[in-house]
Amino acid sequence: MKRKWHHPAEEEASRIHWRSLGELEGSGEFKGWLEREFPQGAQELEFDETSRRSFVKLMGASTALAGFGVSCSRPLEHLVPFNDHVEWIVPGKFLYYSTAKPRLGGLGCDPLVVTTFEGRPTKVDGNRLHPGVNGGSTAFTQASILDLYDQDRSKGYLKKSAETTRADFEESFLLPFRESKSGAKVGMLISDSTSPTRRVLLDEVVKAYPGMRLFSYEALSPVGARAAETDLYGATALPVVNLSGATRILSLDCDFLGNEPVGEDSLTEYSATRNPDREGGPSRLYSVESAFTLTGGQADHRYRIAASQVLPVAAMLAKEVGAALGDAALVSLADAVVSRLVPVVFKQDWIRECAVDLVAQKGTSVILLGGRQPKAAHVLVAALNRALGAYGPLISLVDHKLASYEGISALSSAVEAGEIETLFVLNEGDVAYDAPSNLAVATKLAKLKNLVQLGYRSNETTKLSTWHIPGAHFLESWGDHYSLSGVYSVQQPMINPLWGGVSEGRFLLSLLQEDASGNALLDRVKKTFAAIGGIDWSLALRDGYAREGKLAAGAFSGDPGAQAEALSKAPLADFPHANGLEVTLTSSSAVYDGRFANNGWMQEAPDPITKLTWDNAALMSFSSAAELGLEDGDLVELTVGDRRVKAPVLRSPGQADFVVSLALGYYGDLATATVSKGVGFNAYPLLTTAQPYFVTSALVRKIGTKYPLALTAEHYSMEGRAIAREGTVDMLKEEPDFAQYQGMDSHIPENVSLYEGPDYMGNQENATPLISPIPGHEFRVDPNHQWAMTVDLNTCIGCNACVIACQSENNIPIVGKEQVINGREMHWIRMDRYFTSPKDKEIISQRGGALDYLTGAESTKDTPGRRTIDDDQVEMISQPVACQQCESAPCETVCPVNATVHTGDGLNAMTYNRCIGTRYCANNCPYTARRFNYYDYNKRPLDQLELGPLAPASGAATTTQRLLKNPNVTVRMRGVIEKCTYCVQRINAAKIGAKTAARDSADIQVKANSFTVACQDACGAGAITFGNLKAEGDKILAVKKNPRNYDLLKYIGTRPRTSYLARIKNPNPKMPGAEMVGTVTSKMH
Amino acid sequence: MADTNTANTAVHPTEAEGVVREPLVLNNRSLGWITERICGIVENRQPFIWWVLFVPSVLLFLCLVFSLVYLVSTGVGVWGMNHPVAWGWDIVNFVFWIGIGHAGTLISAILFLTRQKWRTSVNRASEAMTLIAVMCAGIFPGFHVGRFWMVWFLAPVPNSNAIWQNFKSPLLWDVFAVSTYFIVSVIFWYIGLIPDLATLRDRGKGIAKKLYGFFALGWRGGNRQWHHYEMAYLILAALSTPLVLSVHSVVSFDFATSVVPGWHTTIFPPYFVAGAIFGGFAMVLTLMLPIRKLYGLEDLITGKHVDNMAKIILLTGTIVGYAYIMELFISYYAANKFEGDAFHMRILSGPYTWAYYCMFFCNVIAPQVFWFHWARHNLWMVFIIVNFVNFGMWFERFVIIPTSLARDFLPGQWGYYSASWVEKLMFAGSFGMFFMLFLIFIRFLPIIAVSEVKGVLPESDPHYHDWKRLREKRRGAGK
Repeated sequence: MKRKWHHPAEEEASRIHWRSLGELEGSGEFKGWLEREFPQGAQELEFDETSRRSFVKLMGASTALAGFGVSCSRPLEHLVPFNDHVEWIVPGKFLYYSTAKPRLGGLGCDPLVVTTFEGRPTKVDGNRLHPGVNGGSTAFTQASILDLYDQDRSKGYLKKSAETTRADFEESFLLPFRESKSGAKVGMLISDSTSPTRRVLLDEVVKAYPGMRLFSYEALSPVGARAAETDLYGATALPVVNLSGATRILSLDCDFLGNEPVGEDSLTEYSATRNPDREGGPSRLYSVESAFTLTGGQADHRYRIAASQVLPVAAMLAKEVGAALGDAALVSLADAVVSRLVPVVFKQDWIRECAVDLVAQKGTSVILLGGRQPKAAHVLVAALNRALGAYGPLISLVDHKLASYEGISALSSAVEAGEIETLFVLNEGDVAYDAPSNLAVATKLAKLKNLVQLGYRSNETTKLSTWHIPGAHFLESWGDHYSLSGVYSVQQPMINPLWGGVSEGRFLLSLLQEDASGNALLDRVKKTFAAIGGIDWSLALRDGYAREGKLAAGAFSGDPGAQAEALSKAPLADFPHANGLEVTLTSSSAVYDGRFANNGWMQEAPDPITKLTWDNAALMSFSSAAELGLEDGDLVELTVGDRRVKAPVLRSPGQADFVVSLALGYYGDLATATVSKGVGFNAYPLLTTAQPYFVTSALVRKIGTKYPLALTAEHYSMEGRAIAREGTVDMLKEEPDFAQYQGMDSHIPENVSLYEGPDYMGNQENATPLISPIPGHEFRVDPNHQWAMTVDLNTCIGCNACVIACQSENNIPIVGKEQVINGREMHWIRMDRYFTSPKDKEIISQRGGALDYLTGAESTKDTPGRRTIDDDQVEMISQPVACQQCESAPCETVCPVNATVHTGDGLNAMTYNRCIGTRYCANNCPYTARRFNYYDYNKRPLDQLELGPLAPASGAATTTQRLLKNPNVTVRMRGVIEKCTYCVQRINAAKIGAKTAARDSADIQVKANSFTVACQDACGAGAITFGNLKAEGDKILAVKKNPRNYDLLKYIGTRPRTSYLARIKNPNPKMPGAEMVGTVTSKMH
Repeated sequence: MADTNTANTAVHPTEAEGVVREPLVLNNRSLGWITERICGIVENRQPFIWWVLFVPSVLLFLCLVFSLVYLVSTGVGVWGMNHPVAWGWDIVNFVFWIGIGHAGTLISAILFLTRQKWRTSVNRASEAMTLIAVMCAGIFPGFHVGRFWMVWFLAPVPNSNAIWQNFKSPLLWDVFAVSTYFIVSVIFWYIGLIPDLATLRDRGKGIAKKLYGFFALGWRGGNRQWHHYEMAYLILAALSTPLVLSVHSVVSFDFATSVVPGWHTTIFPPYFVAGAIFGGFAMVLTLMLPIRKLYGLEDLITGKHVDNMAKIILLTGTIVGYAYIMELFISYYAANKFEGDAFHMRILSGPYTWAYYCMFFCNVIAPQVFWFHWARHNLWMVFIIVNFVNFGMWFERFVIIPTSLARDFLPGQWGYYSASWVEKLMFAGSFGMFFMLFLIFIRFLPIIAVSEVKGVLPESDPHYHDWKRLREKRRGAGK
């Protein structure tokens, strides 16, 4: 049936094309304005004596206005440019769809809501409707949209790296293969997945091609955990941790707040437990780790130790716990390790007190172990959790009915033995690049007869492939996933594949049948939906998940107590030392395992701990670096046997001694794509099947050259200024508003200013309105809306999700490594990170002044170690800082051209058109919140910025990236200042909505809590609250009243609208060094 | 350079009174000699060294033009600024050149009002220097903006958007203060030039005669003309005097009214004005010492002039030193952590302490040698010290501007700034422009105010002949 486009009703049309809120309201004032020929100052012309000045002004103004404001005969037009669209689309409005994205590592999924504009997705957010999650997202999730529009995406079929056509592939390979109906000497490499449809398709493929072998590999998959889980719960089930009820959490090398979530939404669950008002008090987090992670940064007590020593620590802990609980089996299990240890080298009192605390809270305490720790450790921790009663209340088993596939070693030997001649590579990683180096997979793959790769980026494997098929992004494909807790979630496409990419599902279908279209795949997904008992497909599609078909619980099938043998055989490593370093291969906060290597947002997102961008580095402690004679930026070679990698040194507080942390996933010189080219150092040569995670007995050699590192924050210390404030549970009890009197806020002098600014909150009666030289342009405070924000440092972990969300929402460009080194990153919200340590505190209290106890980059000439830091006691705190929307904004007074002004609803507005770029506002902003577009970052290639107009205008390469832009936000040109706007586009959309709904009534106030801003949306921890101070029932009102609420740099008198809530630590008073925890800023004044 | 004290001063009339006062023009030079010597510079061929200086200056100026084209076409990114240091050499150079532009008006206006006759030999050149320095200064804030083509937003032009300038912004005050200063200085300078232009007209031929004649505005040297002229000059001097104090005070407001620790201090206006006079006189001496030598003007610009200016440098340098120390004391005494840290890092632990000590030595320690008579009268010594001052005054602005910004409130955002090659080339180019214009000034206009110098000759004193007779009588009595 032919669809007819119905013109919208007259009334509505005028609401779409409004010139001002006045017109929208249809206010008499506006109508009067329209009717007057000379709108402004017509009165003066009539009644007053006309000065030459005002005559010229009026003539100029009316000539200009003649163009748009006062013409009266413009025909009413309806622009219908978007011909082929769904019926409910409203031009100019976003549409939101739910979908799901396989979680990094493949198991489980992240339920999402995608914002689309006229058919193109522009933003990704978490799905609030989905059970078990609160709608937050990670930086990776936020940035995944950029990959969709990546200019280096695989765009066509390749045959031995030469371009070819789909028809050629089908004719020369696919049809003969399909006709052969034989899977002999055929293999397929896939990722782990919880997708039921994929499972069905794979089963059918194996059936159709008898003899086909399936392998799975992901470089960062939790091998140790999976091995232990197979023994304990069977191969098909997964443990899912729900931290909501936890009171004591011990993280053993598990970054569950960062790249290694242990449950459906670990961050949200954990954050809720940290609420100081929680019944029974906030939870307590212990952390044992080798390098600072986001989790370690939150820990109340942190024990830094090499990753190889986590098993001994767990064993010693198990022994204490076993003894306390009278669990002989646990003790004997632990003894299998402890008997082989020298206990004095460990912090026994730390372990003992931790054990006592965990036991005391039995039933609500849980131990989390890093997924890539060895199997033995997992077995032991499972026994511990069982003894502590964590299974059930905190850890549940979900039977995901996972299939078992062969691993990478099997693939390698099968290829070598000639058992595989044709290999399909469908996995997310880059097997020629990220496979363990001892297998030499790349050389073996090169010998294959047929290597067919499906991937949406061309990588190292592509170079070896006989056939390369362009893959589809997850936003372009149908699919389904079980979330970690077993909820069936639908993955629906947002856009047709941009470059004709093929999804994994469609590829599998093409092996089975002629029709491998998206619709055919959709049919299969619907079939699965029906098979799991799904009833309402439309509802599932809308919500993103099915209410039916939840997975069943799993059960213990093995007994951890019976694994003593595994433990007694577990190899124990020596403590690392100067001639036997330990290298921990970590997942990168920016590129994960390498799949985000060409994602500019992630490359430029500062590492949450080191604040390093555009690189990975060999992190080591200050004292180790001093002992090894190394400084920041020294290029070193790390050698293990005959394997070696190069990396620059970066010293990092809180790092275990003689442990080098090196992030995987950087391609360095291997890469050819625009963004990833030459970025970082490839660490995969150190990854082996024997040591997939930490590598012992490594040596370091200084190469002698310096390597420039792009750090966005070179200073570690707060310099004795109470900036990111914290206290303890006890302090909160004694003096709830302690945070308001830390630092210089304890002695703010009385404000004796003669100037009284506008009274936004309407507390003073008859506050004089500000005078304007132009009548009718007086500053008017909006009585209905006053926007404000709070950031709860107690739950903020510093994960960068808000940074990337803001970048995505507000069209913020990346600037490249050189520009970051120059200090010109453009992030509107940034994550300041400080380290505090008692040494800092002592020195500050002694001298009463600032002390740069850790050297910044420019003071590396100081001898390392001269200013030392107590790595055992160091704490980390992150603080997101964006424009604070000061009521008395220092930036506004200094702008000579009135480009930054205050709005009636309390925003510090920035008028890009008016800005000439004096940068005075940036200088005068005490929060350094303002960003200046030094080059045309949005327009010019980042490596040719200096060429100016001679640089090639960005051509087709970035046209796709233009599709990504949020149409409601100006793409700023060079030479203007930009900054956080409180997502003014969302505010105004809400205001327009409220006005439209109000019609002629006066109730034009936006409903409380009815919309969110981008950073708030993205924050899984719920640390950011935004709202209207004038709306009754708005969440912001309660948060602002929280006694922990304080203004950043209140002393200056800027009266910021954004405020912070102090972090509350919950130290265990019996732990060594407990008196130091969370007290640093309270001693500053 | 020779020792200026060797000149013969025996016939100075004041000797007759028993008061030994150094004469302002040595060697009993006649009116004719003065006219001949000063106008000769314009009328004769320039010495070879003029070309040696002029050609590189023009080349440097072209570098400036190139830099500006590159800057505007490519973006402010070609400079080294960043977040948090959004101002660097651009504003440093602006304040530096504006500071230099202070000596001229001070000499011409304030010293005129206070009847300091020694000003006559140096005022013309210093005023020219002022104008050129202000032009150099104007380039930097004009071009440092992100969108140069929108700079006209700074001008209060009525426009259809009904947006006016922000009159609260010190940058806007700057625009008005500097342009007012420039306009008044140009008028003042030009009025002072009129009698000399007429002299050149009267001596010249051909096109030069016509041009000088045009600009001499029909000056005939009549009594009425002199009467009006003197009055106009006095009024302009009175108008200019407050400007000397206001311009640099306003420039200092750019910093003083901000909240940045290290900028936000009330001492800035007097401190900046003293610094400007200090730096301006140093630049006057830097220019005048070679000129008097090259063009044989030792009899007009004498040791007394140098001595006086050295004393002013000593005085203002000491005021500046006081300001430095007072800043430190206040930052300690106020117990404001941000302020305290800013100065702590400036003098002890920050990344730019070297710049602070550079500044302190050049501006406070070095000029102290001017306490000694020999130092003020050894021209090499003077030349070296004033160049220390030039150097030091640039560093003073550098210490104030980028170093304060690099270490402001939130340590998480601290940064470091270093200038790019474009900024360095621009700064060198501004010197090229300065010298180029100054050399053009030397070539085409009298560098010493002929009529005014004649006015301070002993002969122009109405009682000169009485004194002469008196002296002869005494000599006769002595015999």
